[in-house]
Amino acid sequence: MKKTIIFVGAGAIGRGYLPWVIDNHAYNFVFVDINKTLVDGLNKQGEYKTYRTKGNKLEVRSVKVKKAYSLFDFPIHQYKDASAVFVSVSPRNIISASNCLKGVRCPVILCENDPRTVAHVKNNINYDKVYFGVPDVITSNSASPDLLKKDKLAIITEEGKLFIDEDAGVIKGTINYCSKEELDKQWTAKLYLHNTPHCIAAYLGAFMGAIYVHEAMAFPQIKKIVTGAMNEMLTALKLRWNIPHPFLDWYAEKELQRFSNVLLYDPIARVGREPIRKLDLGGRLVGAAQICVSLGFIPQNILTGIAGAILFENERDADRHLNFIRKNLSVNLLLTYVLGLRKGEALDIIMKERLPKIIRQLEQLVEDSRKISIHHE
Amino acid sequence: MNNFLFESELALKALSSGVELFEERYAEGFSVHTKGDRRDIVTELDLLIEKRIRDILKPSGYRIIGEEGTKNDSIAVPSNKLVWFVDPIDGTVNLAHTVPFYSISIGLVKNSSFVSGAVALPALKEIFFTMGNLGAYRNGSILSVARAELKESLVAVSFSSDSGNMRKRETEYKVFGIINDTSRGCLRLGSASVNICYAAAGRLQSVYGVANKIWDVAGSIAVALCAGCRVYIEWEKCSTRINFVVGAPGVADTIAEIVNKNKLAHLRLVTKG
Repeated sequence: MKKTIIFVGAGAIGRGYLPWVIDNHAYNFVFVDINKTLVDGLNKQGEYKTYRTKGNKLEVRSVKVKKAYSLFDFPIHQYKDASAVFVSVSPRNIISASNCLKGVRCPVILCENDPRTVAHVKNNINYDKVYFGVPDVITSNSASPDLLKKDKLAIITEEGKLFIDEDAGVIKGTINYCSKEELDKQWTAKLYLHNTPHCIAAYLGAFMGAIYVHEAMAFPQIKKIVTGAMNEMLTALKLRWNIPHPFLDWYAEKELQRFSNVLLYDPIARVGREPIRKLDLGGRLVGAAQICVSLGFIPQNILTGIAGAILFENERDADRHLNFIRKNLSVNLLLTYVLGLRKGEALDIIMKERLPKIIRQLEQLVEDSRKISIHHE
Repeated sequence: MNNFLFESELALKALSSGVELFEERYAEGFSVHTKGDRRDIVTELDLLIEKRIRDILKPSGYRIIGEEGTKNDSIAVPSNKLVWFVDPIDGTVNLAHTVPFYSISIGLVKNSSFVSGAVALPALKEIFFTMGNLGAYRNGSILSVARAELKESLVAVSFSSDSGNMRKRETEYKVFGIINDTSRGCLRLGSASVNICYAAAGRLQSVYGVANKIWDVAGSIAVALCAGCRVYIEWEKCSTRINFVVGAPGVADTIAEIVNKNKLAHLRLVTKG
C-alpha cells in the first residue's frame, strides 16, 4: 500500500518542483494550501501537469492528487502514517501554516528561504523532528499562457537538486541527504549567489516594466548590475567562508544562466514579493551588503538592488505599505527604523549618502530605455 | 468616503520630522522644567517638537491641540470636527531619567472615532502608524492582535495624575490589585502611549488608563483599533481627560467589565472608523 507525502504549500516548490524529486510511484500526494480556489481546483481535476526545463526543452509529468485541503481544515490526525511533510509557504507564513501540523508524527522538512524557521516551527508545534531543506532550483508559480490554456494548474520548474538534513530519514526519490556542514554550504551559496542577485534582477526588472525575470535579464543595463552583484557576493564569500572556490564559481555561473531561462516564465511579482522581508538585516540584500562592507569594500551593485527593493511597487504585494513608508518617512528613519541599521554604522552612512543618487540613476535607466524603445519604433 | 490616507501620510511626515528633530537635539543635551507638580515636567524638546509637528499638520486645516501649545481650559472635547492631538513627548519623566519608554504621538480624532495615528518610540527605534483605514504597522510589519484571556495576559496601567483625590485613588488601587492578581501581572511603564502601542503589537495583551490626557493616547488608540484591538473609552466631562481599556479581544472585555463594575469609569466600546 502506498504511503503518503503531505505538501503544505501547493505553490512553486510544493506543487511544481517537489513532485519531480519524490518518487510518485511510492507515495500518494496530499496537498494543503491557504488558497481555496487552488485547493478546489486540485480536488476537482485530481491531477495536474508540472513541466521541467531541460536545456531548451520542456519535460512534462502528470501529478496525481490524492486529496487537497484548505489549511484551516487539514485533519492531521487522519495522516498518522504519513512518511513526511514538506512545507514551503514562505518564511513569513510559517507559524500560521505550521499550526495545522500540531500532532504530526513524521519528519517535517521545511523548504523555506530561512533556516531560522526550523526553530520557530519546533517551538510552535512542540515537536523535534523538524528539518531544513534547500531546494537548489528556480520554480515559477505559474506557466506560459499556452500551457495554462491546457491546464490552469500547470506550473514550470527547472531541473534542480534537493538537499535535506541527513537526520530527516529516507524518503524515496532523488534527494541529496547531507551533513549539517554540507547543508550550511548549500544554504550560504543559495542565499548569497542565488537569492541576492535573483531578487535584484526582479526589482530592477519591475522598475523597467518587465513582467518575468528573463525579460528583466534581457535589458543589458540590468544584466550588468545583476552580474556585478553576483561578483560582489562571490568576492565576499571567498573572503568570508571556507567554501571551495571552484564550487562558488560554478554556482555563480549556473545561477546567471538560470535567471535568463526563457522557458521558466518566473513572475517578477513572485521573485520580488515581500520586499521588507527581503530587506531583512541578516538577509539577501542588507545582510549581503553588510558582509561586503565588513570585508572592506562597498558593493555598489547590491546597493542598487536595495534601492530597487525600496522602490518596488506592486499593489497586490503583502508589503505594499513600503511605498507609503518610503514616501512619508525620511531616509534616516527608513534606514534605522525599517531596515534596522544602527545610526552611524558603516552601511547606514554609506546608504544615507548614496541612496538618493542611486535612485536618480535608476530613474535615468528607465528614461534611457524609453528613448531607445522610441528610437526603435 | 474619506479613507484618511492623506491624513495618515501627513501624520507620518510630521512624526518623521519630529523624530529627526528629537534625535538631533537629544544628542546635544536638553534642560528639564517642572510645570505643576513634581511629576508634571517639560523639556525644551517638547516645545520644539510640538511646534515642528504643528507646522507640518497645519495645511490639513483641522484644529491642532497639543500638550504644550494649547491652553487646557480653552479646549472642548470630544469635538464633532476632526482634531489633531499632538503629544511631543509622552513619558517625559522617563525621558528625564533615561528610561526608554517615551513616545512622540500624533492622532486624529472626531467625536469618539480615532481615524489616524502615528507614534514613535525614539529610544526603542520603533514607529507605529496607520495607513488610512487599511492597516496598522510597526516599522515594516503589519500588526494584528489575537484573542487572549486575562489569566494568561500581561497588562499595563496608566494611573491618573490626580493624586489629591484619595477616594478615586483607592478605587484605582483596588482595581489594579484585582487585575494584577488575576493576570500575569500589571505593569506601570510610565507612558500610556507606549502601553497602547505595546498592546497593538501583542506584547501586552491589554492596557488601561484613568484620567489620562487625550493627546497622550489619541495616536496610539488609532493604531490599536486598526490592529484589531478592542477599545473602550469614556471622555471625562468638560475636560481633556479620557479613561480607556485597549487590548486583545477577551482580556480587554474582561478588564473593561472590572473597571465598570468597580465604578472607576463608565466605559463604552468604540468601533473602528
